[in-house]
Amino acid sequence: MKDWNEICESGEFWIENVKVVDPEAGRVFEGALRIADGHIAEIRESGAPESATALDGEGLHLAPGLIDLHVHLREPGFEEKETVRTGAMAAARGGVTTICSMPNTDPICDDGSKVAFIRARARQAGLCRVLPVGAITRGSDGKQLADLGEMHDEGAIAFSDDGWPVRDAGILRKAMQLGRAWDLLIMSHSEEASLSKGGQMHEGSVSSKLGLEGIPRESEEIAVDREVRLAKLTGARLHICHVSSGGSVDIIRRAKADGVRVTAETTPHYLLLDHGALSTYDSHKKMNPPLREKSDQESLVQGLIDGTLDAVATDHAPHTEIEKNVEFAYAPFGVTGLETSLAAVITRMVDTGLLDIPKALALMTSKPAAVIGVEQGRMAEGAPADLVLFDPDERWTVRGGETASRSDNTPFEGMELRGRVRATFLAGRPVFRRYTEDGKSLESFTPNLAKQAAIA
Amino acid sequence: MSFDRMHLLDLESLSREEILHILDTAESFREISEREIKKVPTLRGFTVVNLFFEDSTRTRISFELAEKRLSADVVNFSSSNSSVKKGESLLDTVENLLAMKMDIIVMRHGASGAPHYLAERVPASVINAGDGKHEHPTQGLLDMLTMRHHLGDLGGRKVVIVGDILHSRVARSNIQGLTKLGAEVVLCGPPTFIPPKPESLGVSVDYDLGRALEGAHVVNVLRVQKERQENGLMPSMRAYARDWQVGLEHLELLDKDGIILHPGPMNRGVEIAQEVADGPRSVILEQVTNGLAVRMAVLYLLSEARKKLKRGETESPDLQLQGKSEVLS
Repeated sequence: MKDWNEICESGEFWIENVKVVDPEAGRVFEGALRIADGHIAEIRESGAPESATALDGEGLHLAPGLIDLHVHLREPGFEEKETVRTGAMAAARGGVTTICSMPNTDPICDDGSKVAFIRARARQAGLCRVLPVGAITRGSDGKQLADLGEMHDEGAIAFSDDGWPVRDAGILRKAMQLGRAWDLLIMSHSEEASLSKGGQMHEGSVSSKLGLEGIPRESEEIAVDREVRLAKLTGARLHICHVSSGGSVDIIRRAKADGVRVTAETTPHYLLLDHGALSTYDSHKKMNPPLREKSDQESLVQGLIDGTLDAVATDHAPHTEIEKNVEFAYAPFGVTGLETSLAAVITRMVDTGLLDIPKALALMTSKPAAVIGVEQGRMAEGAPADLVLFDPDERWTVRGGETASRSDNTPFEGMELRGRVRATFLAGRPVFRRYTEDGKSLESFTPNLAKQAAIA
Repeated sequence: MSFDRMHLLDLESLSREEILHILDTAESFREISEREIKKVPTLRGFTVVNLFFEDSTRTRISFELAEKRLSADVVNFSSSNSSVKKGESLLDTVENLLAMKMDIIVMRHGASGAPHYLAERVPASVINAGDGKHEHPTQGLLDMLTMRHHLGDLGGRKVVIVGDILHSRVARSNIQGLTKLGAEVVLCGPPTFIPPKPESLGVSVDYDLGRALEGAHVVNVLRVQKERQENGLMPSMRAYARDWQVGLEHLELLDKDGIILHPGPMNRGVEIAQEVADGPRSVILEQVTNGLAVRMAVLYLLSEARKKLKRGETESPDLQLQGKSEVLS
């Protein structure tokens, strides 16, 4: 194997023999890309020039790197679950090149210095762009507004008390109002806590049978409705996180038609699993909001197809084996997702014939890019050379033990998925590769330290 | 019929035939407790640990007595939920016990699914003595044994379960077992006490006690806990008693052979009137006697299954569950 890093060292090279995926244009074509100075300098619908220095893409698909709007990196405070570095490794392994990190660390990311800390850590890791999400209220306690402007200055991409809802509608309204000064994006963990209190899983036939306290759909839907109304009132940009319920999709659809500036995401686990998966009390399938019913799954899929839902984000929430390997009620909510999201979406949306590859990829590239207003996620000359090289047809079985994340609480353990990442480029450098040598499958990570400043 | 289970986790996973087999076996164990020497050597050499993470008097005593009458070596471990939660994990606790070679674990635990969690991870047999709000399979079995004594085949019989179904593991085991035996199960209680989607459990619901009890062959009255009132599910115990207490006036609504069950401990004057609890229809103390027989039967059947496994004569369905063959290592 010729060393890709050597080829890329000069900063200018070609990637040839690839099927280029343009999510915005909805096209896949055979071609080649010229990379220069961390950006896509040229896209050709033909081969690279004869004399060019080129990487052989082996006929695989090359798409913009994935953008994940919802990731818990756990640092600072919970480094035993994940650090910025291990989270960035998991991202690179999953073909994800930009992540929004949620603020529910310890301390909570609620001022400029904490935003700067996470970005510094991300630069050191050099494997993935990390865009911190700042807290809406100090300590995410839901009482007093955090300094949104200062965090915005330090590079916070959006604001959320994720992990918890903002219980006080008056506080949320003020955050939305204040945010108008910089046109900030509010990300909402939509949950009416008085309805979900004590809940362990979706309220329905399975919770009845298992004797576990239920979380009704309405706890999400009532909150989504509240957020949408406040966004309308204030004119704020609103993004609804981890939509799990079909009713929420309807509310968001109506709000969009009504001109509210709202976007929304759902997650791979809501698309592939339902509450029946909990019938063995498997804590690795416990998250909040919970897995719901087949009918919700279908509404979510429909929402992605008709554009009501803008993106698939993972809500990657690592927890240690010690925390998860306990009685169901004592296990924390959350599952990992960075390393399985591409395959999960291909399996659920492409393998079923619902979407083609570019449209499915748009849910993880150009559309989430539009939600947060970044230049990544596009297959265009001049765009950052954040790319994922993948085989859309390879089937593989998820094994939590093979993870690059510090935690292995995947909800897809043992499932066969379609679509596998072979290489991930960040700002023009291959930061992750999966290749075969002497019949053995190997993986390597190479931080991009040449472009640190551009990363975060 | 051979019983090849390694565990008794719930009645949901048992077949109708397996349930009937346990009940039939229990019949034969009833007689032992009538003897002058109330002891047989069936479980000699087996060590059983009663692991109770929630307070329990009658279930623990019933199990302990069943184990002793079968000549097992018995160890008791009691701990309140919270102290264990703060310190040692359940798995660590159990692995420490297993290091001393326990064969059967009888566990009561406040978390639904805790025995299932354990059964997947340890080589001992696990008997669920009540898990959270999920199931209490030996209670379900002893209730059915008691009903059978009075009514014979339970197919087509109307069984009304009255009370806090939502939080009741007794109710769930009754529902799972009785629907398998073909009984018609009706749930009755305040709507805040009825689990979501009850039809998915194969039962019907009637909020009106009088209507529900019409022609009933069995009324299983559940204990109503004070904390439900504090959680806002009921305005007061008095409000509950007014509309859902089973009183003397209800007895005439029942089938002429209708019986009254209660898993205990009773709140006399709340969910059940004094005169009903002590009246001729009440079979509440028979339930206690049958509980002993059922628990002896379950212990016996699991010990036989373990012996068969040791001799390599069985492919227990529970082995797949565990994905390990060294169950008896």
